[in-house]
Amino acid sequence: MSGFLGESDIDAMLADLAEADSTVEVTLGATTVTGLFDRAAVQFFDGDMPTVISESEAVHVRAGSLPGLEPGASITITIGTTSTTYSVLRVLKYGDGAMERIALTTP
Amino acid sequence: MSSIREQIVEAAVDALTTDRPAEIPEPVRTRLVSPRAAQLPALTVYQGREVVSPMRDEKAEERSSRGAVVRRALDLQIEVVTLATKSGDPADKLADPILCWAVKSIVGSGTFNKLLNDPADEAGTLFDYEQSKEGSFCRATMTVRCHYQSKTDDAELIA
Repeated sequence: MSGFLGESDIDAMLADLAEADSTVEVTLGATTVTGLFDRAAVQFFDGDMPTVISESEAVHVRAGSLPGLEPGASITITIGTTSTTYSVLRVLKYGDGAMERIALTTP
Repeated sequence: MSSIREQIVEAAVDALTTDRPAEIPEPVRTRLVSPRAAQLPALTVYQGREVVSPMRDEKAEERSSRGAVVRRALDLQIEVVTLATKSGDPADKLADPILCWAVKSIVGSGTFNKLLNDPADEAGTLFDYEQSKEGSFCRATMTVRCHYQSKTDDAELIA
């Protein structure tokens, strides 16, 4: 029995997105999986003065697909032919728990 | 001419700027734009709050007038924003020498040429933390309280 609603569709959806060049390769140790990359500007320190502006980068993968995934782990994201190494800042499951959002920081 | 309050803020910025060590960022009077990581550390001075009260006890004297002179307590905010280094120095640690400089230069400046009744008081510091792809950030906001007196009907005249 599937653990999550729609879990059986995730690999197929990621494969469809990969065909459209909308995915990235996510490597942790010896394991490489397909993921969705997310980059956005963030602002924080609300208060009296204008906020500080920074960048947020994250990758979304199927939950449990990367053994050893934990905060502080070294992870490599490959977009096209360019690979970048990050440290894992935090791992957050979402939806019904079938996917994970991995927040990244530059080491 | 400007209010005594404005003169105090200007004096605080001058104190932070004068003989500033190399590792201390240039102070900005009331930041107008959002800084990016590359622009940190940032040091900003702005007015937080001012409380005005009568010199005398109104109830005891059964008077409604404040009299000719009022006492004022101005809270200056000294905001320091830092980003942790890749070599491992946490952001709040990097804020520490800047906060120490703020105490030394402002509290140690005495009465700002008699604008204040006494040297400014360090009232406290609030620390906030955030993380992003670029690293760990810290905002330390120090409150420095300045007591002074002005004419009741003229905030530009010290009393």
